[in-house]
Amino acid sequence: MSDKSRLQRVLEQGNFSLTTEIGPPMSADAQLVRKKARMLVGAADAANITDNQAAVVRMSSIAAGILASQEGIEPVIQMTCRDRNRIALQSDLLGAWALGARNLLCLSGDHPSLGNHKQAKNVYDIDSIQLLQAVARLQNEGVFLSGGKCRHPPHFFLGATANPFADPSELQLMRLQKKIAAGAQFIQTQAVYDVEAFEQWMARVRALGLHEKAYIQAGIVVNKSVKSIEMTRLVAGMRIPESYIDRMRAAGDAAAEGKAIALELICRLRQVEGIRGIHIMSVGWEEVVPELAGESGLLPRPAAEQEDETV
Amino acid sequence: MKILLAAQKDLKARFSAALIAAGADVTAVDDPEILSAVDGECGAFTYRLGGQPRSAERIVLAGGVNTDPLLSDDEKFSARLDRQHFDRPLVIVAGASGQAPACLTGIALRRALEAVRRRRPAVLFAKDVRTSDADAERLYREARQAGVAVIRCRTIEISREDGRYSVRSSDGVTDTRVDTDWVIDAGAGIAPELAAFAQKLRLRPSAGCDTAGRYWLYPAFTSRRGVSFIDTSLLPMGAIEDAARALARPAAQVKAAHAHVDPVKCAFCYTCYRAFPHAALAPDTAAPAMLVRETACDACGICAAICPANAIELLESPAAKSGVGRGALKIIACEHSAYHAAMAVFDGRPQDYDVCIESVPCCGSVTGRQITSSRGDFDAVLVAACMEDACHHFDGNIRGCVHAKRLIQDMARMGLAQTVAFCNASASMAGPLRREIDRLLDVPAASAL
Amino acid sequence: MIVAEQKPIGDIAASLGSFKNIVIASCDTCVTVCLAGGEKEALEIQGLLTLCDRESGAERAYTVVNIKRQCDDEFFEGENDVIARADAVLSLACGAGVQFMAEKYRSLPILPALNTKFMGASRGLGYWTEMCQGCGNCILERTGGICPVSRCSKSIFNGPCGGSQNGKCEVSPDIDCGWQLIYDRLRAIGQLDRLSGIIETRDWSTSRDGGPRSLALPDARVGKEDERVV
Repeated sequence: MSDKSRLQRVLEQGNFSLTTEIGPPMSADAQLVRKKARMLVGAADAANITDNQAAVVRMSSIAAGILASQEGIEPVIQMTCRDRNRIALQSDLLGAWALGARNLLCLSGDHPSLGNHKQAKNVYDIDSIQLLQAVARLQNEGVFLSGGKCRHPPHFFLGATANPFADPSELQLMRLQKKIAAGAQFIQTQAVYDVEAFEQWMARVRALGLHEKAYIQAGIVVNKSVKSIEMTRLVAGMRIPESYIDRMRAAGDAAAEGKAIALELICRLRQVEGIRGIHIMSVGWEEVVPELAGESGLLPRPAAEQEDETV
Repeated sequence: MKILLAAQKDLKARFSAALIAAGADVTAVDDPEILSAVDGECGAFTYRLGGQPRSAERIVLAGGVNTDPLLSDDEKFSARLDRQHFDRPLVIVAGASGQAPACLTGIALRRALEAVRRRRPAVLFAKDVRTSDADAERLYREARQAGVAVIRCRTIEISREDGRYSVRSSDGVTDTRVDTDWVIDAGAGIAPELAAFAQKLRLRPSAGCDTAGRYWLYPAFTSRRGVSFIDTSLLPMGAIEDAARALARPAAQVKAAHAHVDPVKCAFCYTCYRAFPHAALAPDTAAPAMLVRETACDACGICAAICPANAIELLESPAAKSGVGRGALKIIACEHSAYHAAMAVFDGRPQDYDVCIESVPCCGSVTGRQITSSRGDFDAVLVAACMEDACHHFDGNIRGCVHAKRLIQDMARMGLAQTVAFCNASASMAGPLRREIDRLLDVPAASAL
Repeated sequence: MIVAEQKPIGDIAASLGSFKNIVIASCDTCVTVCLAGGEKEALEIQGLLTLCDRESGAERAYTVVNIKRQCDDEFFEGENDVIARADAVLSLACGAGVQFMAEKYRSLPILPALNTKFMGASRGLGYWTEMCQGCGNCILERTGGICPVSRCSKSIFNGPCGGSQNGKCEVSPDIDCGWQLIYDRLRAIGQLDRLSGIIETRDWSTSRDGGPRSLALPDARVGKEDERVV
């Protein structure tokens, strides 16, 4: 049995998890990734490495993820269905595992029309649920999508996303169920600002028993400036109560206010029943993550040693 | 003559009696609720009355438009005019919105002209003056020449104190004020039951002349042949009987010009059926092709212009043409209003300016091919359509505008000089027309073909 | 129905190059109905190009021919002579028609006047929307008659994605979210249970991904004569 990822150990041992995000650079500069990763060591259990997010070309998630792990922070590799067909997806998974990656998040991916290469052909050979299913099957049965055998399969800690505020809500809940049924072990939600609405959604999630079938982590975004929160508002599926925008606008030091808001949200979200962790998206402001972790009492991170499997 | 009369309550009895006296077989209703399933064409309408199937050769809507009684009553107006002081003007205001429908504009101009002829000043305040046919064009020019003052404005305000009126208007640049003791409001409202009837009859709404009701119906014609609207408030006493006699006569014969669909070429795409306002096309699924109901066809030519298979033509369409065969400028103008406006610019003699003016049933019938073809014989081509909301075919002038402008844009993209133009024209709004004519006639000889 | 749109007139004119005798061929089926390449459009183009040539001094002759369907051999019979005399043909057909003509008239350049866009339906006068991608494996009975391949921007089979908002797709507020449409429709016909399972990965080999496709019906191709391929 291979080693479990740190994130998986933290959650399985009953701890409240803390993850964050690194956006790889729009260049081949490894130092930039290393610098960001170093800032996060010890401050989070793992860091998502985004995969050409918003359909903008950046260093690949797997490459940046390995650079990050070399600096001491465990990556969560993200894989979208937008750019690769099932051949490339399975191939990249094998390579990621071989290079030491242990967490995988499966996503549909933002449409190319939103990014900087609008003329690109969309691949979307399989969708994110089918990808989860395929990876789970590969891991549990050692079989590729073709039906052929894989002698040494990966064993990623498998995750997916959920958007509590997207339409139609009944179908989105159904989709969350399917993701978990397909093999998702942890779920990261889209950024939450409207905690009441989020609590209503979690009530429905709990009614379906989903909080016991997968580790649900609430996402938050930390805004450094008024422009940042205004841009966040434009993302599809985002719901931000006007009061937060007003606070950012009225503040003398917008960054400090943004951090204060994030702290409040972390504190409130920790109280929501069924939430097993927080996922902080700092949108390039990596320095604030250790501060937030410290000031919200989430440091030090638990040791979560590898459990001795052999008896 | 079997007539379905849809009338306003208080007019039903009188109009019904007049039609019967004229020899018609009349079914009269004043409640829109009991009328349904109106279908068919001029000479052969079918409908249901309280669920019972019926038929009629003609449908008449009769009602009063709410307007100042002095506008419609000759004797009362004349008597009042006699009492009017010589230096206090008759002020006619085109409704609170500053916009009177075309028929009321005609009445207003006629009254203003009468006043001026009897040496009282007359002033007409209007956002714009809607002239929509040859008579109206002529009337407008006559009124202006006789001395009626037409004041264009964006806002109108009337205040009254002790029987004296103060009318203030502004066009955004100039403010005007007239003090007088006689103001006539030429605005109008249409009775709700007439609006409901218009909806049942699927009459096309006209956007511009909206006051109380959504539908405005030009006097004597509606968007459907065989359906007539008689505005009883505009008829002098006794004229109701005359109107009834006219309506009771046999239905109009097939017009000399009408559209014809070639069933072989017809792609049965329904483009013509959807595009044009008169209920004169019907699908013949046996052919399969569109079929023209000749008695309902108004020969506007819009269907012929829009048909992508070139399967429709107007038969025996006599186009009025005045002027030369090749020359400096060809004006293709709508026969109702724009043609007369254009002729007036040249005092009726376009040939003296090397110009040809051709009338078409509606500018919606003008194809790009027609324009490029004319451009082959002339140095410049101007397409002149009737004013917005004054098109007899409801949006024919807009179609004409869109087609012409697309062609003009294509020509510009191909690097051709701007020798094709489009404008809306009427005698009451001759500015744009004159400007385009001046510009196009100024075309230097170098670009002549 | 195949929906196509006329190329900008400048592009059409530029493609004529140095050809002198040009036949403009309309197609009287699909592209007539979508107001792009019927007889009327052919005449309009002829008129405009003639005018432009006179201005620029180019010496070209245009002849308009009308072909009922440019994707079927027999419809060309009446116009073969005219076409044969041309230097080039400007075809107003969809991509299928243009290529068919190119195969049929081997030594004649065939120029496209249209951009073929999609298989779609009419939504009203002058407005068409994409409906079918020709994937070769129709599952419309499972999705309430709304296609996830063509109507979802990401061709997701277990949708919607997280970008669906107020029934609109993240790509554009003018595009309905295909999965919202599927959900609403399944609910309307009482078949929401169709969504309870995960729709499996798609075999794209029946689609264009498997290579250019053809269809030969054994019931029709019985005799020796039928084996003839144009």
